[in-house]
Amino acid sequence: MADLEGELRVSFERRLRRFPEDPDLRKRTAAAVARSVRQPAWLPVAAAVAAVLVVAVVAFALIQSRRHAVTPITSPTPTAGPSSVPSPSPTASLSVAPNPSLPASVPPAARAGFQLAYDGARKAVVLFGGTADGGTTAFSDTWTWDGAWHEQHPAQSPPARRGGMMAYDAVHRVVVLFGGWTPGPQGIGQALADTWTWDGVTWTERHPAASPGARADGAIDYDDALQKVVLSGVDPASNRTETWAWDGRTWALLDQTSWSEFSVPMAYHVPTRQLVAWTIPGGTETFDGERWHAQSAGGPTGTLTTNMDLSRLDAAGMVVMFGGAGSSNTLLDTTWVYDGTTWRGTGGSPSPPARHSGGANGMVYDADLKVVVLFGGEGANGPLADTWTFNGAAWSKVGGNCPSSAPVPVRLPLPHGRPSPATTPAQDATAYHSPDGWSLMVPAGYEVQSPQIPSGLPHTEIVPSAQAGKTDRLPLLVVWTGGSADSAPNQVQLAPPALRTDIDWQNEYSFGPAVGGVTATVSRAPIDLCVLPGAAAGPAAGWPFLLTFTARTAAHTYFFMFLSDTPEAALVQQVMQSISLR
Amino acid sequence: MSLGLGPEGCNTEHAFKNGLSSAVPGLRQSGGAGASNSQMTAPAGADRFDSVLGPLVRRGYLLAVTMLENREAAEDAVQEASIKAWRKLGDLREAGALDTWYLSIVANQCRSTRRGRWWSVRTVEAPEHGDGFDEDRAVASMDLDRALSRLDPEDRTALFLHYYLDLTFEQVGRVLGLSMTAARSRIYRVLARLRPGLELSEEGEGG
Repeated sequence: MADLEGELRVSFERRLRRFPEDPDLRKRTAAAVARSVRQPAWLPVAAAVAAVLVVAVVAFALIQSRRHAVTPITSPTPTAGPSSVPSPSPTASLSVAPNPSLPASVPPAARAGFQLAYDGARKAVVLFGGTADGGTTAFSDTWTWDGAWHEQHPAQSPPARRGGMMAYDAVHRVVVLFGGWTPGPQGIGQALADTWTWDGVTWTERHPAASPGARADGAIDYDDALQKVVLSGVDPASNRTETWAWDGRTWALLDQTSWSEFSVPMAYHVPTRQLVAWTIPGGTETFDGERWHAQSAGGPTGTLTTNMDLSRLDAAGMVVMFGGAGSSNTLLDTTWVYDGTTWRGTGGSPSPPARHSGGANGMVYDADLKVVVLFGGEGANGPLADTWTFNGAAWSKVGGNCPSSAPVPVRLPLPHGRPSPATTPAQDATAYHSPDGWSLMVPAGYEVQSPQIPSGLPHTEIVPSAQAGKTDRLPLLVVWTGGSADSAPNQVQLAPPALRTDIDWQNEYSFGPAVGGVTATVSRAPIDLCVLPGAAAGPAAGWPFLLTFTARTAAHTYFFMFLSDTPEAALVQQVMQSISLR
Repeated sequence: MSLGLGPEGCNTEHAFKNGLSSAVPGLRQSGGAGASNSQMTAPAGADRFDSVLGPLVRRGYLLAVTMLENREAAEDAVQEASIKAWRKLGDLREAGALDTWYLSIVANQCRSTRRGRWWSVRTVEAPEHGDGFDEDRAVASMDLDRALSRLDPEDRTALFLHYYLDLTFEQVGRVLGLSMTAARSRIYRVLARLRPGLELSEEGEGG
């Protein structure tokens, strides 16, 4: 044991020698701390404050008169210990807009760190970019949600990014996007300083006379009182948080504050007419249009929490906070609501699975449906692609009541034995040569895709081609490529994620030798048919069959997985027999 | 009893506390376990920071670079953490826990940085060759280097805190947000993976 302790110390010494300490680090740190000391806050002009409050009260009363009666939340604020996230206590139910009952639609690929905003002019949530692999690559696609997801195809798009800031400019009726991180090796990218607007059809790059410097992972929302999009983010040069406002043509600096945090979310609170931010390590700040002010409002204090989602919920007069990452990298699934004075726990069951936002904000207020919409984020097993709504009292999963998602599959009579080899080759097939060392013939009506799924091993899918008019989204074949000593992936992921995690695989039988002399296994896949509508199997036919086998060469291990409505599908046999390995 | 200072540490806990009280007006020394809480004020100024938290910056940097494996990111994390620590100094209840408290803020800042950038670097340094080069030992040390690189970052951090910065299990737990028992279990579990068959005795460290 003593030997190992010594070896560990020497090994750590070797690691540390690669990163020699700057002898001036202590001095520079002291100087940074000295610069960060908060300046005394300007006291608001009493008359201006009183006027704002009067307007807010009148506006709130007018809004309230057109909605359901609101039941005040009376449960006490949960108290937090110094090192634990408090459990939210149940609250009195709040009668607001009901969560809409919506069918499932095929969502964007699972991702986190994407940019999200509600386009009030077009009455749709807009999503841009994000990442599915921690920032090594990034998306540059645009999606909208109006109860169902629709991919857009604009003539022009901003460069791919994650961690940008996006909000709707109600005056100019466009969605505004600023900054973010470019993709980069090992997730290290460059901060951006560009401004783009979305008009429902395409993106347009703007060239304002003044602009914040390059930054990412900040916060943004529309400030109803200022009638401007307001952005708050850390200036890397000064290490201070700057607050800027967009007037439709240019940015203007409103405030610089001493607290500097990555991933500080922000949302507008209608009743108090202030932006509300939740800072790290835990505290509420409000912006009165000129300065940020610290508030004593409770909430998940006492522990460091980052990357939570935050959204206004105008219909309920709230700001909503969900999830985040707590100490020791624990993911959170708690919901908090802010009523202008204090934070209170709420949400109940069902609740979205724990997640963090990935540096951006995955939650926005849909003013048409009058609910908060949550999409994706970084979950315990990787990025998510689920969609939820929150009405101020309860969560509801979009497509969660899909009737075709049966809990138990229908089991068909199963022919055992080796499937018969195909006697005729596939018609109009096209040869595909993977850079990973395998080749096969892709049947007509199918195409090759390499979706971004952070499962550790590169993988390729042969999927039905939408351009060929196929609506079935279930892949025909998934291939993983590993090193010569790798084991089979212990977690199968499809794009979009469509495997039910609450039901185990069902192995049926093995047979061999199959192609190349290996043994193949046939099993059933618990596909979530609400996510992959039109899958090979339907409620009456049972779940798709999987035919899987492993093939090894000197350099690689290949894992093949066919999905079909029957293990003897001719198409599976034809493709399988066309496989060759280099 | 370990004082929680690394091999390069030169301040005893006693001297550290004395330096602390002279730099921070109004600080009442806690006499040890069970002593009443003491409040700390947070005066401004680079010199005041340097006298209170300055001695901890290096340990913070060593921890940060172990967690982030990037010098620039580690320096940024230490500076961010130092700013937060200075602002929250009033929350600290025991002057004697300053080191552990500061390192916990550094650790959380590093996690935030890691989440924000989602990168990890795994490199293995070749063993040094010299007179009396022992190939078997070099292979074993390279294996250990490689094994450390492959560890979960939190596991590697736990080992670093205990075996390099000489923190007790309780102190390791405080930095990582775990109980003492959980911290000890984590370290023993990792050691067992590094050296299967290793006999681990229950150390009497109570922190």
